[in-house]
Amino acid sequence: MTSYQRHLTPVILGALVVVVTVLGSFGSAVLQTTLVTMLIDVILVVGLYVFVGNSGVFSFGQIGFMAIGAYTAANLRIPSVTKAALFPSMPDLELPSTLATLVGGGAAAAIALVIAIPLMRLSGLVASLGTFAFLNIVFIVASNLDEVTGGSTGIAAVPATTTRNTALIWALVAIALAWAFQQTRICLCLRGSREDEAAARAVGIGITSERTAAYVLSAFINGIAGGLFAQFYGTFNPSAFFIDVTFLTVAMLVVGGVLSLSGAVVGALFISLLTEALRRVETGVDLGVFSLPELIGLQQVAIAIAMLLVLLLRPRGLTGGDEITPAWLRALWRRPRPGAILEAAWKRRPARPAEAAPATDGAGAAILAVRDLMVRYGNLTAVQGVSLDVAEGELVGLIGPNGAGKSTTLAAIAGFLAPASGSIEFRGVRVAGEPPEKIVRRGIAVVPEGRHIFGTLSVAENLQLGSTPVADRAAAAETLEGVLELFPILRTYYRSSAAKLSGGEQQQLAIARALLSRPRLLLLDEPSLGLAPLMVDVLFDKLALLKQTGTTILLVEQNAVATVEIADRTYVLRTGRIVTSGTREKLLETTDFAAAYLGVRA
Amino acid sequence: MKEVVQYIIDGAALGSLYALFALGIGLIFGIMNLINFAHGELIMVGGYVLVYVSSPATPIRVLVMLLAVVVLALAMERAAFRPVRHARADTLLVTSFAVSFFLQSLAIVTVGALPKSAGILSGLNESFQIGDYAIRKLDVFTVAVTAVLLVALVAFLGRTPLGVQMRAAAEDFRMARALGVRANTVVATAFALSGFLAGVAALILVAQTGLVSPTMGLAPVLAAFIATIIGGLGSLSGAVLGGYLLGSLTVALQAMLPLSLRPYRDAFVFAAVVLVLILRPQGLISSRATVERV
Repeated sequence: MTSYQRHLTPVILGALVVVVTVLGSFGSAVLQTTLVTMLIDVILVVGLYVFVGNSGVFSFGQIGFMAIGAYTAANLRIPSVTKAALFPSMPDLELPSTLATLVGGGAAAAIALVIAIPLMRLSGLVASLGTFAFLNIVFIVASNLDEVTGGSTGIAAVPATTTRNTALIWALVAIALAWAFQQTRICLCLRGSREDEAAARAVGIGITSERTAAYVLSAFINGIAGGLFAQFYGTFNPSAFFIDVTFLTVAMLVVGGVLSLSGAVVGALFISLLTEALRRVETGVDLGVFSLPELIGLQQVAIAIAMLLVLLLRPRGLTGGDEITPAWLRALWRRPRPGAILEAAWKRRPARPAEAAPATDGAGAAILAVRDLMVRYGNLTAVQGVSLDVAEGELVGLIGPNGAGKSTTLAAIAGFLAPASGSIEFRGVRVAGEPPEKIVRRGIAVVPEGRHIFGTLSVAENLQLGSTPVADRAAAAETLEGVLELFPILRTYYRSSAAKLSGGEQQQLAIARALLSRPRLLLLDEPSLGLAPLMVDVLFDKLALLKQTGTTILLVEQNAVATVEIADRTYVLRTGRIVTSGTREKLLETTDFAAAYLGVRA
Repeated sequence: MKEVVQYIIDGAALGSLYALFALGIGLIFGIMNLINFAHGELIMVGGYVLVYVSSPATPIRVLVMLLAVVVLALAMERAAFRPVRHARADTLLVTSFAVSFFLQSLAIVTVGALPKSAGILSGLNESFQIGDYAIRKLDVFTVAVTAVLLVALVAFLGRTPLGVQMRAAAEDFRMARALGVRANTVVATAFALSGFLAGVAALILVAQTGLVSPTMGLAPVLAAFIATIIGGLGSLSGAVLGGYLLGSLTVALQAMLPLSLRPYRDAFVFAAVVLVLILRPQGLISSRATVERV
């Protein structure tokens, strides 16, 4: 898989929109109206995505820009004679259709630029509330500014020039614009700050201007959608640009997946098709034997249910937050279990001799056996006689408070520290005291705390370094394929410098890089440290997937709850000693443990 | 002078109603960073219960309605909000948006989009005279009920163990849990209280207008939203203060804006919201809970 394939995403999305449009155009006259509405919705959701997806800040005000685009375009399109009668105070200016649409988009963008000055300084939820206030202001002004908008009765006599084809072309333009923006440096910086706004601000990354850029482009696209809307319906009033459409577009984006352009397009198409299907049910269905009564509002109920289900069951949306690439589609077609490639790669690792097998209280044979490990820093004994086993295919957790010696134990296994006494046996070989570069060749890879990404190198180069111990190039390529399947975000940023990735993405890169040595045992040190809650969830999902591929993992974590949940067995370390260990069920029975680490009342 | 007194009475009544709305939102935000957009639908459902439970005596109707709204609030928490409890604040907001829209659409499907009339306490719309002033009984009722609820809420939060746990949870949820405070109990209590407040708000609204419609929750929730932002998200006294400020601001703008600008009254109110967000993003009364959880 090469990185050029990711540039096929906009082509695939465009093709999807075209196919649905062409299929729909064979339908009834009513369906033609639905089709144009759907295309306008695609533009709206793509516009919404440009800001929300890239900045990570929810905006509830983008429909306000749609209104601005619609009223601007309408006023530039109403024929002079009609305008003199209906809106005498408006300038006597009549523009061609496309130009009017563009001016509408431009007006929305200009207003976005002005209100971005205060709004884009705000963070997270506060910014979302500000955008919602903006939507309300636009609605109130539109409902009362009779000279321009016709007030709450609305505007009429706009020539209906938006055809299916114009809407289709603009939808494709919107997708292309959004994709092009996504490739710019500005957007990369913005996405980098997405999960980690506080951190980005703390290190002085001024995200205000990047956010403003996304906001203005988003407003432009929504303004265009408004212009097309005005020139399609010809007659409309302010309620067309309020809570209902805001909810619809937000629902579409959430259902498809907020974090990717593919999510925006797929969500818009999916909800449109769902709504169309339900429209038929809503008007009453006669099935011969029994007939469904007329159910007005059923579409809205279904949209709300779809959105709730996605929020509860698949929070990253139908696309899972990934862009649709040829590989993504192939995976959809073949439906392999996620991680299947990696699983196959592990099976082809060369067998090594002498699998010593002291039994553990788990199932299989221990590949790692630590006995009475002691590690000293000068006079301080950080680890005081730790013994633990890890069997093939197990995910073993190692938790405990700060300074318990978790990381020190891990560092000793990885070869960063020489133990003072005790033994570390890996697959029957005594490895204690060996240097890290030798230990990784024995099959133990480590992801150290703080990730230690090579920021000046590209993602590809970081991954390439990971396969240093692997001589067999075909095997390295196979592992890379498997790793990229598991962490698709790395494919998206394959050629970018690793420093641009957000904290969560860097953590994924660090894990992927370690996997490329085709390890028998993966050591993870505090992978969730310093990540935003959303990214912690992503991370633990990835670990669960990794476990399913048969990767053996020793996980050191502060996050006791999540660790105990995912691990087969967990050791609890305190002041250099193991105080308890066992499965989740066993640990939960130990009330002391539950109270101390899981916040369960004893 | 006469007009000024009339405005003060109007402002107090409107402010009390807004404070009720805002407390319902503020109680839940303080505990779990959720701006519950579906609070408006609790009010709406309360209204419909009054429509459909029309035969028994007024106190029984009100009790049934309050019970129904509290149960709905608890169900909402259990079904929709508990699974996403630890998500980001904006994800929670989007979820509540979906719940709100779901209930609203469900109401349209089941009872229709057209308003229905519901008579309850309609006698309160009469006025009585004190000297030169005509005072609507409903205004007095609203102010009095709000005052009683506020006193009761303050007593609950200040004097009972559960109240103290809720205040602790609002300040530092993790630490409170570490001390043994049960998360589910605290959150469920917040929703139950919020539901109760929504029920009372529904009673006052229905008494005022005599009408119930699927979209009747929108205006209250917008008012609550403004009031909590002005007062300070996460602070209960902020929510109350915000409610009264919003009531006064609305009445004052109505009285003072030139006739041509009067239709834009609410636009000025929303502009004030943006101004507060920019100048004092933590609201007039700040609380620790508004600091973004990193």
